[in-house]
Amino acid sequence: MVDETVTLPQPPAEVAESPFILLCNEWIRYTSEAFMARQQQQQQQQTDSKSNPGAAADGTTDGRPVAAGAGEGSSSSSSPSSLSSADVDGVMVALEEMGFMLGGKIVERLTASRSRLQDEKDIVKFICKDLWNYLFHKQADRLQTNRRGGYVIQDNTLRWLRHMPPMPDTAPPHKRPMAPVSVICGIIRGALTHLGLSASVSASVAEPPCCSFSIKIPS
Amino acid sequence: MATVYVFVIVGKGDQLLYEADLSSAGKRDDSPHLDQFILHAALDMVDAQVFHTQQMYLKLVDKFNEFFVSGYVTAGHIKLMLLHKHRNEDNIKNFFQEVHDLYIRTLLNPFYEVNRPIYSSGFDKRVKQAGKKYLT
Repeated sequence: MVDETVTLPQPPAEVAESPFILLCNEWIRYTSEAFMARQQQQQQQQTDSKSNPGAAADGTTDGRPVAAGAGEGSSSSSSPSSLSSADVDGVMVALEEMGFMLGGKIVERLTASRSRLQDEKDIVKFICKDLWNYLFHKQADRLQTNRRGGYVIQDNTLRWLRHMPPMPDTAPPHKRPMAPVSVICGIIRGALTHLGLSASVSASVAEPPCCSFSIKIPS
Repeated sequence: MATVYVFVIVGKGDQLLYEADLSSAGKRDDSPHLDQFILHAALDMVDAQVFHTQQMYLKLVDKFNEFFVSGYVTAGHIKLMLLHKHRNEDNIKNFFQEVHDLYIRTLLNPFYEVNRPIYSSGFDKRVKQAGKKYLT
């Protein structure tokens, strides 16, 4: 591997700190880790079976993102359109994990200038207002709470889903826009965990661009 | 005779993330490793004080013989603690705020995972510069 470092000019502050850039950085980190893992695996395969040329051919399709696919283990993601459902699930989990790491970091930045939050309700309100403002330049539309310690955040015009065509409720799962929504779930979960509330977050997209995220806090 | 300043960053779960000796030049007259004992014991005091205030800067957290420990807790419960002999509240508060700023910049690095030790030499250099600026 060639070891080169390139010095790039400093980007302007608004660009450097935008959530999109942070997400791209997380993507770089994730794919680079997956690529290194895959390289190690290939090296092992090559040393195990030196007489098998098939292993080398498989190694040339490296961790190039395939539509929504991240470098997924050794599953055969050879053609772009034939992602099996196991691959898709793996991708969603990967996206959620990236969102998780992002959530903690974003929250640390946003709370730097204000006093600390200690109440569960304050933390969830902070997510609806400040975190949403940072990500989407607007606040979440509705926050509901149900008695059993859960919250539902609703957003009627989620920016990331703005350009999707309307789809009926009965659309099959692989046509639903789960990728951006997984990232947001991860971000919310990371933010909550970083502030001290471990919770589970799930999302449902009834009809884009309207979607809701439900937070369950085990007590 | 050096003025003693020892600075640590402790993460969630009491993991040590960073440690620096920011004392001014000269020989230190305290026993070796005593500063680590004092800071370790002060962790409990920081955790107790956190619930009494909404501020990030918890002024004086603990005292041992002639040593004082000041604390500062970020929103993600990362504790910045400073061991010192002389009380110097304003300067210490500014120092903590500057290190908090540096910590946030470390977080922006996608290869840095939260709650891991900080090995960056740039961070180290800047913390030492901040120490020179505010503490001595």
